[in-house]
Amino acid sequence: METGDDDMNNPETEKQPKILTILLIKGPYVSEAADIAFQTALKAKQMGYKVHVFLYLDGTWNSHLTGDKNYNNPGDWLKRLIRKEIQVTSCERCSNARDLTEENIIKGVQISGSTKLIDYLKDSDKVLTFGG
Amino acid sequence: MKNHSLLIYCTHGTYGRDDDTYGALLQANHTLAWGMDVTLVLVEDGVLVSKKGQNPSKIGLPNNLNELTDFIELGGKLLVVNESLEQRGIRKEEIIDEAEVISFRDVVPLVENHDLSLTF
Repeated sequence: METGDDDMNNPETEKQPKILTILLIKGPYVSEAADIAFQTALKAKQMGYKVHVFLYLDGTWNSHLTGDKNYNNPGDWLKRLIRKEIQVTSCERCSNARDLTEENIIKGVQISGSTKLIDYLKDSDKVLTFGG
Repeated sequence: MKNHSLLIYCTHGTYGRDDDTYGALLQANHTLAWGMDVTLVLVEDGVLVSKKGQNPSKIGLPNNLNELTDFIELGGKLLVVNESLEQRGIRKEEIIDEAEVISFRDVVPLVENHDLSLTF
C-alpha cells in the first residue's frame, strides 16, 4: 500500500509525535497574536503534536495574567495549555526585564534562558512565530 | 538534531521598537553560538539596523551595531533587501560593509534553503 502525502503529514501515523514550537513575541490585548497562538497550541496538541510554547520579548507579559476575568483573555488560554500539559517557557532575560518572577506569573509556566528555545528549534518539525 | 539552519526575518527598525530588533539579534547570536547556521534578513524598516555610524547613546540605548558585529564575527550571514533600502532612500554605501544586498525575489529561495524561519 502506497503512503500518500497526507499520511506523511499526519503525526498520528508515526511512532514519535511531531514537535511544534510556537514562539510568541506580543503581549496580551494589543493584538490577537497571543489568543491565536494559544488556541493553535491547543489544537495541535489535540491533533497529536508535542507542543512547546516559548514566550519571548513582550510575549512574556501573557504569563502575568494570573487573575480571573469575566471576559476572554490570553491568561485563561494559557492556563488551559498548562492543564493540557503543554510545556510553556518564558524567556528569563525578558522576564527579568519586566520584573516577572515565578511568584507573579501563572503557575506551571517555567522561566528559562533563551537557549531553551534553541533546543526546541533544533528538534522541532514545525515552528510558528506569532506577533512578528 | 533535526534542524541545522535558521533564517531570521527582521522587519522592525532600530530603537523605536528596539526590543523586537534587539531580541532578534540576541536570539541570532545565541543560536549561532549553539551551533546552528543563521542567516539574518533585514527587510522593511529592518534595513535601518544595518546603517553605518548609528549612535543612540544620547537617548541611553545600547547600540545594535554591537550585536550585529558579534553576529558577523560568530559566522552569521547578513542580507539586506535592496527594495527596502531604496524605498527609504538609503544608499548601499550607507550600510555596513559586511552586509550583502539582495533582491526581494531572493527571499523565497532562502526560505526553501533553511530548515526554519522566525519573523521579528
